[in-house]
Amino acid sequence: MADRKKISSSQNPEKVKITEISRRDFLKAGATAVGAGILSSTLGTKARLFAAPLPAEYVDREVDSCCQFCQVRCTTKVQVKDGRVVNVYGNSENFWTGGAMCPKGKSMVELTYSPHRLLYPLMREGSNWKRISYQQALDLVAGRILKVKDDFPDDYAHRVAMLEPLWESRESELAAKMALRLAGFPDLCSPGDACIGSSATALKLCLGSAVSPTTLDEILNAEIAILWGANIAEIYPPYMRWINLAREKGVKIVYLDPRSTPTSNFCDLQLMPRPGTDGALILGIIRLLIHENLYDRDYVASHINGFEELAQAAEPYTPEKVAEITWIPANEVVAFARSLGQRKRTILWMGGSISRYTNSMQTVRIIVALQALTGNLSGPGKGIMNVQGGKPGGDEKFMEIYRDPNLEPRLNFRKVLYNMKRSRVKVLLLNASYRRYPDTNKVRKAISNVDFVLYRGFFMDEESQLAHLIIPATMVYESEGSQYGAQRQVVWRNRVIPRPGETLEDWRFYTDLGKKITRGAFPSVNSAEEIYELLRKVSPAWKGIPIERLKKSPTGVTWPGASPDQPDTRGTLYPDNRFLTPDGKVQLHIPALGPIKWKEPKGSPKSNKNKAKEFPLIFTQGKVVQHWQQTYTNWSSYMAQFSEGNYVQAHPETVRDLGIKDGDWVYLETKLGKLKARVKLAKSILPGVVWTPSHPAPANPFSGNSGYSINSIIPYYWDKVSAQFNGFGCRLTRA
Amino acid sequence: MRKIGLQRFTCLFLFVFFLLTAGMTVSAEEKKELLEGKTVNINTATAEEFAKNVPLIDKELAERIVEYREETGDFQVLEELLQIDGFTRKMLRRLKPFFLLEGLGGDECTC
Repeated sequence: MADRKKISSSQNPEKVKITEISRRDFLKAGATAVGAGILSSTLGTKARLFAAPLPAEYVDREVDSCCQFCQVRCTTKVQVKDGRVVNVYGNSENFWTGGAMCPKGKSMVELTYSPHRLLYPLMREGSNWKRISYQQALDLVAGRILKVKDDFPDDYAHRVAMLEPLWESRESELAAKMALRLAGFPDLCSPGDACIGSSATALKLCLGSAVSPTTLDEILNAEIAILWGANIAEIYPPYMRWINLAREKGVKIVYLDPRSTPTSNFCDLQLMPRPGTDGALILGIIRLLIHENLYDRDYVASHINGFEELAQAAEPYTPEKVAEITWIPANEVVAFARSLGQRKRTILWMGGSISRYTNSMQTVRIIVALQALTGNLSGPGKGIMNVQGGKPGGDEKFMEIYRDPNLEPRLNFRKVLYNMKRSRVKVLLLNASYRRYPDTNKVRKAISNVDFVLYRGFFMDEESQLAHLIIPATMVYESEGSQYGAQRQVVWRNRVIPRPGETLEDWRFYTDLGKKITRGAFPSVNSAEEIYELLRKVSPAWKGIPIERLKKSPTGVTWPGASPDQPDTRGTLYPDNRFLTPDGKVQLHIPALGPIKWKEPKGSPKSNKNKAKEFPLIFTQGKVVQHWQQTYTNWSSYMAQFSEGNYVQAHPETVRDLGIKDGDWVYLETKLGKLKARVKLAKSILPGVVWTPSHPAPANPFSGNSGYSINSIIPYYWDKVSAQFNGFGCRLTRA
Repeated sequence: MRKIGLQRFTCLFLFVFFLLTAGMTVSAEEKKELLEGKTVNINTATAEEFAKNVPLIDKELAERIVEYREETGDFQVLEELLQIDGFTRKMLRRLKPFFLLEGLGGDECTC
């Protein structure tokens, strides 16, 4: 391995250079130009246009909307001329974004009018597609589902399944759940297990709720903000205004990531741990805090269950051992730990990347422990944030009412896949990309065993290849409904333009389907608003959020809201350090998780010498600012101009002995297979680690976005809850 | 997370007692197995532990249970056993008291 000290810490000369640039940029940027500034820093000067509204003379009307992509949930203004969307820009009154939005949201103007969009139902006939009417398509789906009940009267429950999500709106999700659950089919597969399911589950086990324990505005009250794997500038750029505001107030920003990223530009210190070793680093910090009596004894005594177990688990992690595991020098581990022990207010922002390892639930438990130990779980300037998530709770009663009385327990995706492999699933409602899962070839093969696959998509993409019927879905400006964001906010999105062709909103399709397959049990609803009101009627937590309140707010309403008059409840979810666990304390002793410990991620080259010989490098992947996973932003030519297909980022030391030069074609190989990519050599990533973008997909018309699906070479490793996408072994060879 | 296990020995005794006295069709060999069986944690037991401690489960079925668990994650409900080839509803009814169910949910999702 190369000289780690040079690249693993704040001493990294590359890092120092970019930090200087960032500070200069930061001083130049005025508060009102934050949105455009962030975008220009990540995408270049072309992005400066993003935040600009068109002059009034070019616009007939302007409609309040929101972006459907990530959980920042930017509210927007959509401008329409002659019945056509001509522009979208961020709503400057949004408390969280200040009017910023990222290029993904902007791409919707082009995608809405894409010539590649599917506008009418299509039925497969051999190798061809036949256009049919929506009514024919609906009857076909309903008939197939009802036939399952006829064919398997005593054993039908797990023979119909759905792959969520239904991000188009909360009402769509509710309509789909009502339709299937009232018909006796429980298997709606949430996307959490390929997303942040493990960190959400660990938060729930430790603190009693799976959502972010505090909101972003608390960062301004902190002394230190730790961005743990949270590449905010790249993944959630509208939030960067809060980082800038925090810096203005003197908050020290510490960033942990094995690569220098756009977020590095905005931090005071970056530590670069080896991927998947975060838990070991935190245990080392905890050990030092305990040894040097830098923790809050009173808080521990009154608010934590499991401190002894934690202390015992942390004891082996001396600074030297932590340095050996994480590649961060021991003196830096010690300095970082002491700085946390000596500051009073630390807020910790967990990136989605923490959930990408098979040790992630342990890591999140240990993060909770660190914040608890220093008395930083609740209060001004304190807490933990989860960059994704934020779905308001309170729908348990709704789910209890709208179900078949004999509904069987739900199976998760892995269990449904097990059944698909054995040809037991007869109907699959495919609402999202199956390519979200690792070893996508295995998933595709299993889905191909299903008798009838309905796809609710937008384009002739990879999912359509598996479908027997396509009923195309509406896009964001063509539907209305509520959505939620990472700050526990609920936002209402208005319809802007009519739906084209015979495209359909998800809530409408599942309402129509529900009325056909539930034998009269589906409620009489005919709009997204009526479905929303169904939830409000039965769920006390939603009483305080009438639609009118949502429509008036440029930010959305922060849940929970017990009454319409109650102000937004930003900040900690746990006032008075009373957690939502049975005894109100932080739970570190969790039998279902086993003892507190750190383990190498599955397949790590560091866990096995034989594996290290064959696949010596550590694989990591992630998003880039212009793409949303591997799905429809790939169909935007605007996004393609910023994309380069498959590429692999590696440190020059990593390929020194392979004779590989910058820009060469290489094979990125794992135990499942290989893909061809260009190599980008940079000292901004740890030697021995490679990184590749996650979005390329084969089926789209633009060379910049096209490429091999990286999930097809990601081994099928899981922890108890979630799939792993990073941290296993790989190698590079010359192509 | 669910727990089955509170006073499980008492429940097990009462269950077997009920089974044996209620006139259900149980062979002499099955009666012996049921009385000698022991409770195992369905989410941590090895194939050997299943086969050794749980009545009516032979080595092959035990291996299929472990294979299912490794492939699909923790059991959330005991009814999931019905997904496994060779595990019948009748077996499920009889064997419920022999399984301690303590595991993690599959996919808590907040997005």
